[in-house]
Amino acid sequence: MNMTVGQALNLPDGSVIRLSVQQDLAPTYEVFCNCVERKVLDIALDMERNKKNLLSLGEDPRTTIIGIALKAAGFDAEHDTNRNGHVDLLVKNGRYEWMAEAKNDNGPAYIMEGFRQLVDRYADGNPNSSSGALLIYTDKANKSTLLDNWIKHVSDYYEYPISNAEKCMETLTSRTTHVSEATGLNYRVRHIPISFYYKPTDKSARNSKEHKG
Amino acid sequence: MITKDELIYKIQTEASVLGLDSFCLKLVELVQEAPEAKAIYTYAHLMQSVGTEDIERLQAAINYLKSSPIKLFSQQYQYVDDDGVVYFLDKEDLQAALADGALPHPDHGRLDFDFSNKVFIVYEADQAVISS
Repeated sequence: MNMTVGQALNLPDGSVIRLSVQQDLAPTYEVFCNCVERKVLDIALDMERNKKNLLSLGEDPRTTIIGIALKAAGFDAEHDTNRNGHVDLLVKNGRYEWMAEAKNDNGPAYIMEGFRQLVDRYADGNPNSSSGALLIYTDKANKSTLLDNWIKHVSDYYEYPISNAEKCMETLTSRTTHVSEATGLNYRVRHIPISFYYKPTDKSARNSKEHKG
Repeated sequence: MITKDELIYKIQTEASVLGLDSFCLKLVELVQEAPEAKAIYTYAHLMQSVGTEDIERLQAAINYLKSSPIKLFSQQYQYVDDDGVVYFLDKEDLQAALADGALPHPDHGRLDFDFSNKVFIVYEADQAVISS
């Protein structure tokens, strides 16, 4: 079987072939970023659905898994690339760049360091690199409240005004925008908490070998 | 450039996380045993070589091998006109055609409104990526 671009673009949502072609031929930076973010959200959901197997992993291995899954989906994703420091995730397509910094939920001050690294150190804020994400891995309960508290914290403590988009209740993520000091252009951050909270209360799960570690 | 040992190690430690290692290793073998240093592969050729009908899973394995830092494959687009003549398209030309709804023929410039059904996705593999 051979595949034309027309056939590939008509494959169902979720097709690896379709996404590979869509992101490769993305006509604008915004379309490219939407492709990346949609895939990152899919991967995050998959990780949450398999959280039991990922509990013991730290910040770096969890981010590595996201990077490998992005590569398999067709994105040119790199882990720990040097961009004035080592950015956790860099996804490229020609001149387009989308970055993400990942942090464990060790409190808002710790997460704030990740936000600052992303927006003030790694991102140049140019038109084709003006979007990124902050991935927050939490082992605690209630990631919705975590997200609300984090958005309030970053809005209160970041030195430059941040405009908040409404929380997306379908994905439990938020978007913020602020002006990049370097370029004067808007820089957009998707805040994506990923929950690894796993405290089953049923007897068989509590007694299982995995749960006892 | 990557050594074969490094490549196999990467595949065994990374692609195996997603269960793609077996397909990736077969693709590496295919490229290394090709008579030409640079070869163009269609999906049909790759599916036959890997021995699978699962084109989505094959795509994931190709994707892994075409990403940084490996870059064993690169995605290319071939336009086959009504006379059966094959032209490689720049990605930018194809992006413009998708935006405009028509592709100017690479030779005579006549607009082809049915181009998307005549542009095939192929993969170029370069043996030189793997150092001995």
